[in-house]
Amino acid sequence: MRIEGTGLTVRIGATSILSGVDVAAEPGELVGLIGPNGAGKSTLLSVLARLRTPQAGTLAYDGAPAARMDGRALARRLAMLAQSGGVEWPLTVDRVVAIGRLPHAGRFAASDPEHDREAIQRAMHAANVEALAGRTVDTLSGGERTRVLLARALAVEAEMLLADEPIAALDPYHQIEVMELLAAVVRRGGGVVVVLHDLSLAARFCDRLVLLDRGRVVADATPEQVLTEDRIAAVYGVSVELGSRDGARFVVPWTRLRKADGEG
Amino acid sequence: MVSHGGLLMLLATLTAALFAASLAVGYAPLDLGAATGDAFRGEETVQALVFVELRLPRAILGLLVGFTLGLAGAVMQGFLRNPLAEPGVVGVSGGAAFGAVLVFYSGLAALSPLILPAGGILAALLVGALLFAVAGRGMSTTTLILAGVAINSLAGALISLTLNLAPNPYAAMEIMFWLMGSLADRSFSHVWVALGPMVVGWVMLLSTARALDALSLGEATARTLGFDLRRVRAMVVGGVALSVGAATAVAGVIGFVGLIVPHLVRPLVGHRPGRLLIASGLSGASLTLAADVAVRLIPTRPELQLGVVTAIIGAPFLFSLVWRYRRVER
Repeated sequence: MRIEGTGLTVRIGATSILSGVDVAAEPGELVGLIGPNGAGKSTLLSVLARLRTPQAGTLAYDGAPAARMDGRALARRLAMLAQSGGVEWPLTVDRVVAIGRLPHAGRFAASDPEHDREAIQRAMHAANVEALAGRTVDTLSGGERTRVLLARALAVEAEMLLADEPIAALDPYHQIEVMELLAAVVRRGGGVVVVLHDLSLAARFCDRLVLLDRGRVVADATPEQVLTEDRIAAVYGVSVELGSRDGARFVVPWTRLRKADGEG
Repeated sequence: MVSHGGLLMLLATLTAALFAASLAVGYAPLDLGAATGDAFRGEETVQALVFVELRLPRAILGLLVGFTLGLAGAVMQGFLRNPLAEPGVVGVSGGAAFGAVLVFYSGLAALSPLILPAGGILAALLVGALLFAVAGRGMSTTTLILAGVAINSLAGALISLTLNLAPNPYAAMEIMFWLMGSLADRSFSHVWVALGPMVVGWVMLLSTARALDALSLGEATARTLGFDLRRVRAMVVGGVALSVGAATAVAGVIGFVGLIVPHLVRPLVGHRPGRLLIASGLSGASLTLAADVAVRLIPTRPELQLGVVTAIIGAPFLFSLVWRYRRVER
């Protein structure tokens, strides 16, 4: 399913969150959504998932107006990994993952329990949480919980996966692990849009980066084209050291270039 | 660990046993076998009358009211993702009691027996709408309890006002009846007026099972799983108002059943909110029937009111929960 937003505009009161954003994503591609805090990344993701209706602009799924798609049909084709996703009750891991099969359930019972079981198994295998199956989520570490919630999203077997800062609270080992999992989703033919703050991981794993600044798209191209020293200085207000390893760019933020409010 | 089907069978058996116990226990000595025999043959012996006019409606109401309270508590806790949500704690029961009192006091109840439950249901609906308006979405435990305190105070004040204005002590006594819930001296007419709205309410509440499972991952995730949360909310508020409103109109305020039962049952269903519903309803019926048997066995005269007993058991339970969650909130 191709997602395409044109001129997306979101205002909360007098504040513009998104102003005329054009963005597209489709299966087979890992798209990184980057930008400073408050740039509108999470809002854009929720607009793309139809969780929020923009005041202006159009959203299309496979070329047809997004509003026309039935809610349950959409839920089978687009999965979302929400930011700071907690789990309310001490459910076991396999039951959390099984929640991802709800969009496929029939009116009164599972429509294809055999396929559901396989999908849950595949998702748990892909996210490397099989060993945790019987544990309750309240006993998991942050990295384990993120993988479990990712497995939940994978269990939907949707064509598109939207993930809001899935690695923000993880240590480097688990950040790389989750990025590898997302890359594997794309290799298997899925599409991923992921909100990221770590520019090096974004450059290394994403096929394309969309850089947002104050609600506008500043750049939308390959990581090498987007992550230039000047552009990072202009958007993030930091000087950076750029380097490369194994053909991928890495970015080390160094000094602040702008004075903070009330400073100096 | 027993299977889910096994658990439900177990709870249904327990409920059936307590239902039988409720039929067997009473003040007039009764040969249950002879009484049912007489009743089935249509012979109007004293035994048959005691059985049909007193024991049977009381037991059936215990079953219906208890199932309603257990189910409503489980749904509210799942929907609000809040372990303290319960019709009594958040003020739905108090509001429904005021609705019934108002209908009774105004004399409207004399027009049709259906007006009494209608008053309870309307008031419960109003309270439900008010609760969501005041506390909004994703309300914290603190907000929810504050809203409940406010609504309960208002309902209590309004009932006190009607008591204050009651023309004679007998009217005041009648009104007190809704404040201290009880199943004593109910007839089949109470069963009939409450049954319809209760069953419709149950169906609405049970229809939210999957949405409640999805909501355990938060509202955004539940929506991306294809659940229309406005519709789910309407089902929860409407279902609670219909079933709890009708239950309160015929049995008065029986608090805390909806609070205690989901907590006791939750570990048995692996904490799954959807699986909790029927199990919690059956357990609510069991608890209510057991408490109603107990008030008849405890040798106090006058008989202890059922609502008083559940409150005496339930309030310390609520206190212990507040104590436990106090640490989490900080």
